[in-house]
Amino acid sequence: MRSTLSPPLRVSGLALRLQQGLGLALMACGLLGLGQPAERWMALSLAPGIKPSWQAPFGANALGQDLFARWLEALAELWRSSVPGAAMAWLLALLLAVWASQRGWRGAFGRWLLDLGDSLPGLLVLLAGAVALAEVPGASALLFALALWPEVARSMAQQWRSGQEAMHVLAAQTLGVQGARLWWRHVLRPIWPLLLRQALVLWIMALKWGVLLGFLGIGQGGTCNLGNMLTQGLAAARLGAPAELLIAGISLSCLTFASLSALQYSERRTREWNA
Amino acid sequence: MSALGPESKLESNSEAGREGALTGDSRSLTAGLLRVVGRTLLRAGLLACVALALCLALLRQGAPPIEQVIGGRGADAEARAQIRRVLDADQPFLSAWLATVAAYSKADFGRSWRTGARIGPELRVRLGRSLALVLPGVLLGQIWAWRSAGARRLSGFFESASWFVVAAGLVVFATALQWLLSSPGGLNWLPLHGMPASFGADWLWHLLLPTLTLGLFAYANAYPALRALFEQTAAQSFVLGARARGTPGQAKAARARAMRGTAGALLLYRVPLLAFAAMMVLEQIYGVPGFGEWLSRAVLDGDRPVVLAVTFVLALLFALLKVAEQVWLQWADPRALDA
Repeated sequence: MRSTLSPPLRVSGLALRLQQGLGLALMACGLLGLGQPAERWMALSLAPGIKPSWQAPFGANALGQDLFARWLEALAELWRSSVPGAAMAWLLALLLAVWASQRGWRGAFGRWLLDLGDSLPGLLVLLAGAVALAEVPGASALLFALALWPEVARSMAQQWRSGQEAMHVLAAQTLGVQGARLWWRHVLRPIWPLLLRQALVLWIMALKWGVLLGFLGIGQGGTCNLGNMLTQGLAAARLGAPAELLIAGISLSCLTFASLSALQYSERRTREWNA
Repeated sequence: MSALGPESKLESNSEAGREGALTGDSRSLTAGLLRVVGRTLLRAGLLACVALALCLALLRQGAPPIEQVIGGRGADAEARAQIRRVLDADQPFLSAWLATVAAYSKADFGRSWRTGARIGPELRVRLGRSLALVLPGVLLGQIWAWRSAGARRLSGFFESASWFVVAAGLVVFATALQWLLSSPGGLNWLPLHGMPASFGADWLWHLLLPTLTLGLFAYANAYPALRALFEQTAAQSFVLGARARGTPGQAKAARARAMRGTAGALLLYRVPLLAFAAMMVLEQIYGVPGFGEWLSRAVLDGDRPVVLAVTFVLALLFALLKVAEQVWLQWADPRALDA
């Protein structure tokens, strides 16, 4: 109920492929940005507000920084924070979901933990965690892991439980299949696409919250991301130079839209697969 | 024997039985509701205390240490020791937690490390200011979404437009709209900064842009979910049955009743979450000294008493909203809780 991401758009196969291609291209640009030195995007080496050219494909911002280099760095930051953060949150949610599906006091305690996580707004955990982890390296990824897992843990637990109670699993148990083989081959494999879909949901949430934190200037010291590009771009746009604002805004919208399309695509594939 | 005959006696008996059953049903429903309220209130209080413990543990263990936040990096050893002594920073965790819970239960939230001001009164003032900023927009957006979820005209357009806005996200949407409507490079129609502290015509004029932004975003956020819920409810057998019997009024009432249950719970939790995120974003953009701005500055400054107090208050508030959600669900459809 808390997720607002179930996409209702009915788009054609080609449009879907185009959107996903755009998202993948943006993420690939982020990989290019991983290798660039910090001086390239920090340096005030260009004339403020110059127009796009071969040397600076997106021009320069009001401070004279290369916008293309900043954009690459902002996309690279997604690989450093939101991807590992979403992966850690997914793993944590899966472990808790399995724990909560057990019988007896262990399961009850796991379900209580899910309740606890569900009752605290993720944004609040993110802000409180940002104070505590202010000087920890890789704080953003840790923060996302801490704050995001409740978003999907409950539905993961439901999927896991329904996987456990499926007829073929009960039949396999009757035939004597037990332990890791039962979990891996009979419980996990049928619900695998659903679990991967949750990873995508987590990534979208991490993307949005990363932008929010960057916009507020919290927990992102010394980096350039789409959020602080928006803040800086907004100040420049008020003075009539909207390039940075537009680049960050359009990139972010394209990324989110592409991931929502991917979510829709995965949902459709899952339905076909289950059928 | 009654003068009215055995049939009428049978009828009156069955009516009495039906009334009795109805009274029994409503009694058991009330008892069930009370049980749910009691159980969830207990859980809400417990969860808020655990949240406080978690937050306290995070903040005590966090870097940089308290004396460095207050005294700065240049403070000498004596000054640092004094800061720790004054703040009782070496108190064992359990007693610190119990002392905090006891103080909070008396609405004593302590003082800000940065400004020295008492947190309680400032929290009330800032919360009021922020709610005045965000509530009109959020409520208008939700009401509009609720009203238009059942309409067939232009539903495809509204759905697509909503998803473009949701994909852009609140930060991008608010930034873009603000740039378009109030910057010299755009249309420059509406004022941006300088919202007056007192209510009046000027205050309303300044409120127009935040309300418009948030109204549109809240609408886009709620519309797809409400629309999907409406379609799902409209396809249910009791609605189809009522329609087949040729009673459109009954079908409408049944659909409204079924929607009220889930949508009420949906809005009870999602609207406050959206309002909280909106406080953080809009106050940053419009320069309003409200609750969100206070919290984000406290996080940036490492002002831990403020972060702790706000976390506790919000955790309690959201836990109570969960209670309200449960009660609403139980009231609207007792089967929902079993499911």
